[in-house]
Amino acid sequence: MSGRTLVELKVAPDAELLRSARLVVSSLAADRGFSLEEIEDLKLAVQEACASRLLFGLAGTAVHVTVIDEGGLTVEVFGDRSGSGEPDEDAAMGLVLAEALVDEFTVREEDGIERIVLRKAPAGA
Amino acid sequence: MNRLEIVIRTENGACVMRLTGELDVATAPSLRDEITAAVAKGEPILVSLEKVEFLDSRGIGALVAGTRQARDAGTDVAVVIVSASQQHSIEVLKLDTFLTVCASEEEALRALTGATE
Repeated sequence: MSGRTLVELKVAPDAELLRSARLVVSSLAADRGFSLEEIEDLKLAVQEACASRLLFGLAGTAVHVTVIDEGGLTVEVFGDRSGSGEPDEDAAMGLVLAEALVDEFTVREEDGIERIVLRKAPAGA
Repeated sequence: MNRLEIVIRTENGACVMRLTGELDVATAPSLRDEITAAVAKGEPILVSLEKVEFLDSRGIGALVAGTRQARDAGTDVAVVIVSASQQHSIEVLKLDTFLTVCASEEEALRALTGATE
């Protein structure tokens, strides 16, 4: 992936800590000219991506969050291992929500681990 | 750390829950518990998100589950949402026709009690 890596976080498997990941991303977005509305959208998309990795068969594994500056921001989210089974109703809703809030939403597999990649650029960029 | 405060009162025959803070994957279970307790009493339930700064899908899931529970028990839940982004999330998930979403507590109480102005 091209671009400059700004932050790499490894978040312990605790739902309370997802707040830290979204606050880091919102701070980086604010520094890059995102509007308040765009920041709120990105925060929520990151929350949903992280929660899905934490809860979708991944209990007890950390969530990795990498934020890359590529003009806009690219946020890559993955767990230490892939989950199994189907996501529950709330997790499925969360990914629908995340997809609607960013410019690009991709789920790709790398080294046997599913990664969620979110891209969003400020409207003025 | 308590990131969600729920103040509960009975007003005009309804159980009014005023939430302050963040309603997300970590805090949504406490709302689910409070709605379950209120449904057991058979009261209509007003959940105000006016002072909720962050709402994720698990928070929305708690509202959906609570509404289902209440309707199964013959009562209902009305949700007060004033944030455009929270309203947008509800619309993206196409839940705006399932949930009773109101712009004010007055409107929500009218929806719950059937009262007219």
